[in-house]
Amino acid sequence: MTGDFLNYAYLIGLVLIAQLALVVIILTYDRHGNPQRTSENLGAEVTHHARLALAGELTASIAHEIAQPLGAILNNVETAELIIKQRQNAADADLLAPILADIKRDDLRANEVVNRLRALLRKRELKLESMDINPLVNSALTLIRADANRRQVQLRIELEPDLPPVAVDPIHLQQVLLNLLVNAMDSMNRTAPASRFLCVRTRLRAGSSVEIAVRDNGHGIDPANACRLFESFFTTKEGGMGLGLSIARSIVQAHGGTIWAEPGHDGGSNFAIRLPLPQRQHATRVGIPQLSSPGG
Amino acid sequence: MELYDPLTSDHRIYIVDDDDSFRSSLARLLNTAGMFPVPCRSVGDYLLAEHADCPSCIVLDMLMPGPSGLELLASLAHQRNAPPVIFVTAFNDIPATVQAMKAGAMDSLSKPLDTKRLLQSLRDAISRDARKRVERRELEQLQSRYSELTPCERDIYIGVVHGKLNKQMALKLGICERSIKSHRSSVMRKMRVSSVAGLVKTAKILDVLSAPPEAQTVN
Repeated sequence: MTGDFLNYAYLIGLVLIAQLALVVIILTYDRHGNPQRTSENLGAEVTHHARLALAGELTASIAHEIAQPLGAILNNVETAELIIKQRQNAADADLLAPILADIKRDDLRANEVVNRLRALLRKRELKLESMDINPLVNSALTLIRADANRRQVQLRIELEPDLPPVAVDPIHLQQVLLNLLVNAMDSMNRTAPASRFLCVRTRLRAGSSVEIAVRDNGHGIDPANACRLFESFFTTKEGGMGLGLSIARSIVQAHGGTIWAEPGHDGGSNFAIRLPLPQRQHATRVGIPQLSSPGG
Repeated sequence: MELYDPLTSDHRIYIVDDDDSFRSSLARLLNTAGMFPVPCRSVGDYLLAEHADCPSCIVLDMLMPGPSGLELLASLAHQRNAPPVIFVTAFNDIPATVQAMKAGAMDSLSKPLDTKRLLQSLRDAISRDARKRVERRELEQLQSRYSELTPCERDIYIGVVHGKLNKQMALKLGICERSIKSHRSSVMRKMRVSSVAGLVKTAKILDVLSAPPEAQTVN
């Protein structure tokens, strides 16, 4: 009985150490940078904001992933304490109680670290301005034009004129657009250069929302991955962090909008963002996990 | 250790959480504390689980694949006999907590769970559900008694609880005072009450007091 508990305690200790090591590794990785995501053509300000958002999303994901096992460990320690109290086997209790108390204290300490990380995250707020999104799309396209030329990608732009204004945070939304555009170009690395195209379209949908669609003829979306595209840490790119689309979704949802992906008609993929017009817009802050499914 | 005394009556605590280790550790904790947990991996699992006919409550995780905790909460809000819900957010997210309480959650806790608070909250939830079940049974009984009344007896029932005199009711319904008296005693018998005060109490539970008496008595 004592042996079991000791083994269990060692196991919990090991798990805790492994988790802390993971945090350190990921944070170090983040500090040294992640060059392939932000190409040199992008403006310095945009890069800065992208990195802030990346750090924020990384923090949120780590906090969530670590809080779960920490919570389970705490439940198990409480259970063990309860069993010891119920059995009243004095010899065992004297040995085990301090061990369990230590595990509990360390668990709560690790949890406190997680909470402090979250407190950092909460400071990100949106600065909404009512604006036409076409100039915003144009400025994002200006930023990637040189890169597109280098990669021999043709840009096709169809912007519906006279769109009603929507309330957006321009810097954050531009970051989402850049992410979709860079992803689209990355997906066409194996497409024949002559047929590479990137189509960006804006339009008014049913008088209630404004839609921005980014279409490419790259490698498309593997149906097996379709439901995981927007998850944190899910990536199909070599060396990718798997946070770009996850951040994009947080930002779009914070605007009260939706973002989803679908396979293109002729191969490739189509990513679309729908932003509600102001009377329907219920903006929340970045970082709240939202409940609607993509495209829902 | 009064807190850890096992609940005396039969009950179920549904734990709806997608995280395997969290769910099973919580089930183990509740088992040890003398409760009857039913672990469910998703909202779908909860809906398909065998629902024992006893007081119950749900410990509901906020974010899960498939329907979320809030979505289940919203759908339970339409059910009269839904068990109380204790909401669990993965972190101390105030907007989510507010959302959950607005949607009808009885309590909202954040992970890691404070065991004492959780067990107290579960006790409150189970005793609240037990009370609600008793109230529901009473209401169903009264409703079936009320349904046995004839239309004329119902008019008199409404009249009596509104404090109308036999004479007034006789005038309004166009029947003689003697018939009113006999109807009145059969109302008392069918509703199984011995006094006007008892009758008023049943009327309050049945919620027939809100309608103005004229609308129901004059046709």
